[in-house]
Amino acid sequence: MEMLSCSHLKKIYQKQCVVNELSFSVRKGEAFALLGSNGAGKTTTIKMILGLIPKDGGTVERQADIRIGYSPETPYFHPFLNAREVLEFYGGLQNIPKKELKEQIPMLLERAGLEDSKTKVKNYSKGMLQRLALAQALLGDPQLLILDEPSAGLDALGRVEMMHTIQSLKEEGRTIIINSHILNDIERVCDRGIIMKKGNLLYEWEKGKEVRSLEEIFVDRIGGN
Amino acid sequence: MGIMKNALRERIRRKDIYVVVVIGMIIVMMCMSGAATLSINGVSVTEFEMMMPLVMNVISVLGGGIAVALSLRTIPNEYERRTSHLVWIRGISQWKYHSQLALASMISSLGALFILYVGVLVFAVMRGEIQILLKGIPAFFLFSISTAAVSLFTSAVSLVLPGMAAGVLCTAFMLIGTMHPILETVSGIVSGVARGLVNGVLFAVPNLYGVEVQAANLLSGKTVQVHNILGGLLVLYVCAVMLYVFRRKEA
Repeated sequence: MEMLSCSHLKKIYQKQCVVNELSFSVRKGEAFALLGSNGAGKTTTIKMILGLIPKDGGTVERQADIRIGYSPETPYFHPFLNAREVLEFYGGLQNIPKKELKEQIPMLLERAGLEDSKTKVKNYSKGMLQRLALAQALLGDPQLLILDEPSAGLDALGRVEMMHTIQSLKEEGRTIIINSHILNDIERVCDRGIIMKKGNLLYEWEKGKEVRSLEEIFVDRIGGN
Repeated sequence: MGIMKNALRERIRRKDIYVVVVIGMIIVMMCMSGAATLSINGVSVTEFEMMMPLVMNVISVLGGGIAVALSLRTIPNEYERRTSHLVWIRGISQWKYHSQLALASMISSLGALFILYVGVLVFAVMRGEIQILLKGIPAFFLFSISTAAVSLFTSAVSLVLPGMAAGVLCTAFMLIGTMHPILETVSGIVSGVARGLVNGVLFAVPNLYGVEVQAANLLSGKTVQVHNILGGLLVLYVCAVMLYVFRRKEA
């Protein structure tokens, strides 16, 4: 069953095609990877899916009434708020009832390892910001999670913890789209994915379909073109 | 109202506004205490009734400047920091988002204006004009219309113009609007193309002075002209419509 389907997506910036006729679909309950080097068009694709930028062509179809959570590549939160206040703010925007929000927030903070919610966001490290971004994405119990470079800027331990969290989110039955270029992480967590180069789809990857590792396939495809 | 409350919280933490307010209050006190002399056509103004509209105009220009400064970056900052992404994906409409940010800018601008205004009231009471206090609050509502319009106009323009261009345009809007009578006098002096230009500017920019002088009239017991107040409210409405119409293509 398809959770989301993109067909012939196109985006042109200053006469340059940054996403070109991109088509793929994401099944319910799977972790799907968008792979590619810098400038491949991964983040642009995510932004088109989320409606943050207009498309120059193509369609995005998703299951009706699904709740979507999004963690941006470079999360920015109002620096004068603490983690609890950030979650209260975004939960309020989602119209989550106060009682429900009160129950959700401590669980999300615990899951993100941000129990010390009194520290202001301005004093957060990059890793803490990433974890807070994931926590706000989980507000309202979304069925589809879109994570743009969730391990960017994290140290080795932070990366491992982030991948554990994503794995457990997948085991809960959520559908996850991850944009990343850390191939080992992707191979461990994701079921399928696409490799992109300069806005074009180069290869459709599926776990266990090939003997070669994802890294080998990636180098072959990206380096070979 | 969460977006507005959050934006107001950020405003309160900005220290620069306090500095502007303190400077403004010093200027107002100087104007009213005689440390600086106000004069019209070389004749010094000492009568309270004459002084009031002039001082109100000075406050209005200061308040308008603060309104431009506070409103100019509020919405663009949200987009530059990409805080907008997490708002847009939650299905918040642009109108709701922008209007709440604009309201926050307007409230903080009016807060600064109120502080300046209270300074005038305090000084008036010190001069024995106690009766002014009763009219003080309704007069402030009249007085705040022009500052609110400047703030809303700035918020709307900041959606479609880059920072510098928006700043210049909004400052011009505020200065021309609050100094309409001066330009009307200039229009009577000059001739030819210059006169056409000045008249064009006077036509394009609403007479904000017209509405704020009604506040001074109310305070000093003169007749209040309702059509000027309605004109001010119409300007506010047009600015709100601009805020609704102007949209961002990208978050």
